[in-house]
Amino acid sequence: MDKVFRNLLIWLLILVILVPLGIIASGTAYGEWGADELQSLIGYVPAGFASLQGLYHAPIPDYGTDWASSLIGQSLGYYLAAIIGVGLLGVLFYLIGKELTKNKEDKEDTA
Amino acid sequence: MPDGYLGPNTYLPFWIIMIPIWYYAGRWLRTNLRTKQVPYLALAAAFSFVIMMFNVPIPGGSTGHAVGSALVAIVLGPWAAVVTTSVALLIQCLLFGDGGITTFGANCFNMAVVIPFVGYYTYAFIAGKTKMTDRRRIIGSGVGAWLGLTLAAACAGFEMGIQPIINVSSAGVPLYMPYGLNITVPAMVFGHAFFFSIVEVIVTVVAFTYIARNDPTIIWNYKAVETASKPRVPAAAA
Repeated sequence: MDKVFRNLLIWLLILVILVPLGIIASGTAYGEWGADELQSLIGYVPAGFASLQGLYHAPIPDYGTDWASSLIGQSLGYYLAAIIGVGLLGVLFYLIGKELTKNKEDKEDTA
Repeated sequence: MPDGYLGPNTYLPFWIIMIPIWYYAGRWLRTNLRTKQVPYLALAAAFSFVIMMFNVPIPGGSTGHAVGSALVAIVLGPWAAVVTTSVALLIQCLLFGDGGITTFGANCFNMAVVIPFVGYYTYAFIAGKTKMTDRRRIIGSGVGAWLGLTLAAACAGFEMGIQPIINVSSAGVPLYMPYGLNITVPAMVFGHAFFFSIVEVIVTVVAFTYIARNDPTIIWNYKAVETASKPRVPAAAA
């Protein structure tokens, strides 16, 4: 394996290992409040907002952090989400890339 | 932005803008992707996903994250970053319920178009005709990352902040995002300019410097950079 690629891959894996750090921040991102949070912020739930809730139910909401209440349980869920996301995107783009370049001579690479 | 923060008069135009952008980005990738770059393309998409999982707390109780698409834009080209970031956002939305379905076009515009293009062109402007390993390129990558994410945040703030102007009930009550531009834009810009964009700068500078020094042939336009940075030799001496 190419050394630069291998090192970048190691950095990516380190990011995956550190990913539970991402759940320490418990607040809600600006402009991503749920209906109950809007209710307590402004005293009502905007009608248009309410009508667009429940449009779609994701299979793993909140990146798998809401199935357990303990920090360890949440971390495991978050790990699983990271592994699914990273694995899916990595494999998908590897296949897409292979398909897009399959008839290329790639003279630039040997230059 | 989740569902419910933008009205149809805002989210539909973003879907309409994004369709030709996605189409062209796909065509660009088909034409320009090199065999050697394929593993890096896969790495870039995976990296985009995981870096967005690092929520950073900021004073005031809010959180946010870097996006990583400035780095992808500088290394694999801004059009490649459009594709990798959009698909990473699609996975976030469909599998994990992060980011709305209706707002998907606007989210892609902010994070998969504004960041890559502002990031890349800022970098290119600062880099000028320097060599790939020049300090100016490193500074450019950092400034580009900061400006790209901060401007993207301002765009999101603007899209949310116009809601109470353009979407109110007959009684004058906001239907979607209730806060106006005077609140949303400063709030989004503050959190990003001082916190999340700094994370974006760090990952961009570290990874770009490593790639430029160790294997610049991965970089999409390294040939053009190499040619442009060659000192001009007078014809008589050549």
